[in-house]
Amino acid sequence: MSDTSMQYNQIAGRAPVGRIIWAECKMELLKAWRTPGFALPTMLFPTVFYTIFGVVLGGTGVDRATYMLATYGIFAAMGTSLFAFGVAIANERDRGWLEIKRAAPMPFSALLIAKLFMAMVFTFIVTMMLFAIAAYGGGVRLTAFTWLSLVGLNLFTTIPFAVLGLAIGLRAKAASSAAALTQLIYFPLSLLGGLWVPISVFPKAFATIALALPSFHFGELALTAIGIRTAETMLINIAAVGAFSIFVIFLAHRGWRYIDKDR
Amino acid sequence: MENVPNLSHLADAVTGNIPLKTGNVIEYRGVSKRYGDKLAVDALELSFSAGALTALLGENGAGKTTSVSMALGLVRPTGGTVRIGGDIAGSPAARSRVGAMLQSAELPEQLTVAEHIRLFQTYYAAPMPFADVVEMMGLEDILNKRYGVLSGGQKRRTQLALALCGNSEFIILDEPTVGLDIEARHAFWQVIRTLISAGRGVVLTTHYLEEADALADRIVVLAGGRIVADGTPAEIKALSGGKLIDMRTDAADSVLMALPGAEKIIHVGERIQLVTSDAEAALRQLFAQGHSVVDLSVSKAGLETAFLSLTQQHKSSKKIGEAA
Repeated sequence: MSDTSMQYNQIAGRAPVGRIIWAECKMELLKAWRTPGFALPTMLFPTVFYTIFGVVLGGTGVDRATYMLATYGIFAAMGTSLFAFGVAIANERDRGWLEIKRAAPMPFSALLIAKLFMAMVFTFIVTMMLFAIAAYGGGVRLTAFTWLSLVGLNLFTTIPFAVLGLAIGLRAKAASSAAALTQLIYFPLSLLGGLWVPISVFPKAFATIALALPSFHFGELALTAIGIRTAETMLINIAAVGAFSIFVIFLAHRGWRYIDKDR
Repeated sequence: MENVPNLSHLADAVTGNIPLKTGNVIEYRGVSKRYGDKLAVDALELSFSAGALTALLGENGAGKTTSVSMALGLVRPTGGTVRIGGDIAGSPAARSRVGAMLQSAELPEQLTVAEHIRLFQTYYAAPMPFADVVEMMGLEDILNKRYGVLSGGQKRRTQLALALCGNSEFIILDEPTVGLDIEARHAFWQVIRTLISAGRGVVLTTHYLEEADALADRIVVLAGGRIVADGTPAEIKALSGGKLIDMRTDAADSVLMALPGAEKIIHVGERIQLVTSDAEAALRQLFAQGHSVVDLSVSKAGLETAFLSLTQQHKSSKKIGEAA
């Protein structure tokens, strides 16, 4: 081997992927924090809604505040993940930023990991805010295990909805349509999934619709965690959540092929 | 560009302190790209070498952007291969050897110039030192400004900073000075010249003839996805170096090429364009031979004419090909 090829191998070596991912994570957090259009609604909607419907209008108190702490946590997790991916990815694709990334020697997966990390950090922050409101404003008392279960469930919920957001972001023609589509999915899923108010307050037909919505099943899992639902229905919820996860992976894959086919 | 630093000393810094990624060429072998019915790039055979600036010149739709996008791995060739010093374009190794500034691509507005550069540096095993990037692009005053508040020229400078911060051997610039005022454009050219003197291979697409003429060591003219001319700016000019005689005549091509100073003939529909270094003598002889000459015009041929006539030549030759 000649000296030149030795030198070339040495210099053209890959940059450590871990360092790239860490740098991307930091930048994604900074970007999200500095985007009022992201940080405000994703943190404000769940906390304000919960304060109004779960705590202030709580009336009979603790039960309602506890019930809604579970469902609003899911609502919050869905919001951060859908907006972090659906709108942000579409926006960056629109502006040509993703093309610059693709031309650079960085693995595209690093970007996805960083965005997921950012969404999870935001989910964690909103969950903590909800906990504070619940504990100090709503007098909610739970065991340490239950608090932890809710945190874990909210973080887990972030993953499939991030993948759904990715599918929307890849497929949308423009960033504005991705934003519209995301909201069109987010709010009905939340309302009809019984995350804002219990599904039982609606006419009976709505309960049937709810069965078909992933938001409902994530909500039921959260209600199981706080002991309102029994473990028997949990298996159905888990199956539904699993099916939804597979479905969104399929959608994201289709989305990827959609933007890849013209290359 | 607001302040234009003197960069000559940086050329030494770049070549001296940081070893250049060795290797040699960006090579297109029989590269085609088809979009539906449209052949955007047609059997391209082309290579770019380091240490020189090659301008890809052509009209919109000539295949310039598609060609460079294939070298960056952003577009997959329908046929043929593009290699960067042996590495297939788009592979991680190839991508680390080419920095890029894309047409109409914007960076996230929320991050500062410094944050953008530092992030991009993590992608490379041996990036250019931060201070050198900043000095080279004259970014000292805007390092802590968010990208979203920068002026057009400052944004372009930041984009170029990302293209060169990997210390890559090649830098591809797709219409880099579109939208810049004259002053900013000239400042940009100075940076590009510094890069070349530091041994970088720069490939630049442009439809500013002035830009190609001012910067390039070599101009490749594309039309309809094919190379219609390839040479130094002087040679490209010489292709239409003298005068351009535009006419309709009954004289055969062989007769025309025998005229004084005749260099080449371009068929444009029914008209014929004759490029000659001595228009007066050529016309005198043509009339003396008794040929009919109508719709006559004689013009000076600059780079613009060369470029235009080469493109038209392509179109007309294609017409002939289709008729046959």
